[in-house]
Amino acid sequence: MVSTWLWIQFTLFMLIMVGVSIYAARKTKTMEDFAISGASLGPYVLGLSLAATLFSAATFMGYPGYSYAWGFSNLWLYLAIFISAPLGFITIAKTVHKQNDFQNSLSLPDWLGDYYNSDFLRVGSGLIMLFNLFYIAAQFSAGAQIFQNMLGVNYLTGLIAIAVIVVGYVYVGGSYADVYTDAVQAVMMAVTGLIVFVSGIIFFGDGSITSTLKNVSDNLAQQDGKLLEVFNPDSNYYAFSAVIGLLIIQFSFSAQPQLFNKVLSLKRRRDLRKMIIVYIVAAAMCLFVLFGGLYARVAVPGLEAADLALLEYVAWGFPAFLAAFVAVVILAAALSTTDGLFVVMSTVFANDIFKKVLVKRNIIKVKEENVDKIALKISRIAVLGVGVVAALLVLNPPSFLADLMWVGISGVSAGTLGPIMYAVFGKKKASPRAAEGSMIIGMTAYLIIVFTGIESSPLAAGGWATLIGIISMFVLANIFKRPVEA
Amino acid sequence: MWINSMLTIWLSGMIFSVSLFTFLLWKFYGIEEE
Repeated sequence: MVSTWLWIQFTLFMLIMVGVSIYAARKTKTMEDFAISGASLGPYVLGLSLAATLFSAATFMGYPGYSYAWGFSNLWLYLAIFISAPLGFITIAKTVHKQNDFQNSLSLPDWLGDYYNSDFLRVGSGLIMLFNLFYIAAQFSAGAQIFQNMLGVNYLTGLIAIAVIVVGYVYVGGSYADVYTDAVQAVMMAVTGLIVFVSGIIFFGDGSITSTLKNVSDNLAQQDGKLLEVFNPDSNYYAFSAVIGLLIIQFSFSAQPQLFNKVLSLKRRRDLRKMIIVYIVAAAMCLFVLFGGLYARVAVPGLEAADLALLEYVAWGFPAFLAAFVAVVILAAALSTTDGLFVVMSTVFANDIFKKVLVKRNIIKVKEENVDKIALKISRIAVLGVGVVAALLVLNPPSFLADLMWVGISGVSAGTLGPIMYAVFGKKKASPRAAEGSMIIGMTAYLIIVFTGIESSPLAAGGWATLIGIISMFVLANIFKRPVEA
Repeated sequence: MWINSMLTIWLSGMIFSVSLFTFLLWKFYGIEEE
């Protein structure tokens, strides 16, 4: 029954995505259109897009799974995401947008390269973005597993289906397709968060929030006392220090290129406030889904795969059409994160490397009037290439991709947040050598922390490396003096 | 008791952050002339 509903709703969802993409394709004529929607979008659609891009399939599968396994201590994750990510946007968005009046940059590596006048930084941070292949692969794999578990399609077919869908709409519609489809997906995700939260109040508290929380707490305490602890020793939040690391890495999401380019896409700077408020409201609603993991622990204890907690919970208590809707939303969450990553990765090849370095430095000779056309073509070919490589990475469903996904997120933050923060807070512009040094030190610090296993929480590991990147930027900026510009 | 330690932290954190966002957004992101 669920699968019939799922087919119907999935088909409907796909029709909406196709419609939106066709509309977006008509608007995509230049490289600027492809990368940042011609810097012409409004705050509501971009605020929703921020939320849809930040929240991925991990939010709807992995995070309720954490609640299921670790109990109430997972509310640290809710708080960290809710507090830190908007703080990051509030800190950097205005400066970044203002500076782009002069720079007209099309991506995060492009912005850094232009601001510090360093092609090393542009290409280096562009190459760091390639770590996001793992992030895309993780989303592909999650989507394929939904197809497999809920629709009975085999994993490989599911994988091909999800890859073709995303590649298709980003190929034709670029950033416009990314943002418009995101807006639809964000609304679906926020509604689902709310539905899941309210469902527990109906199932476990007869309409009373306080009875629900009491009953859920009592049940979890009976199962395992650690599920009520503030710092559950089995969890990613085993101590206050781990929570601090988590807060830092969530803050640094503002330096993720797929979110950064949403700030560049905004037409009027005075709309930044509206954009951030829309994001905050959507985020609070999406994150309610974390309570689903707690409810699942009461309703269906003893699951082997905690990641499936939310799906098992909705299958346990929801009417078939609503259970199917939740599965479609998880697919939507995977798509809405992946499409943003596709846009930034193809911009790296087409704009940051081809247009801004190879053509500008005359390494490749192209007639000026043809540069933009060729760049747009390269970005589309890059979309295809990235799609194929990411799909190949997860031909077999891997068990460690959630951790690998953090390599992309953390590596990018560790390498780029220092130079961004200095652009915002530094008294004067730092030397390009300082920014390049911070990028190298931050990235290296992350690899050392991960491979030596000093920090057991993969999220906190990224936080510490990012902190090292930021500190080294402020130290190096005082050591290397900026060359006097002619 | 319906509330436990973690829920107390969560609720306080939510109230704190909403207040902080309100303050920062109105102080630094007020309507500016273009």
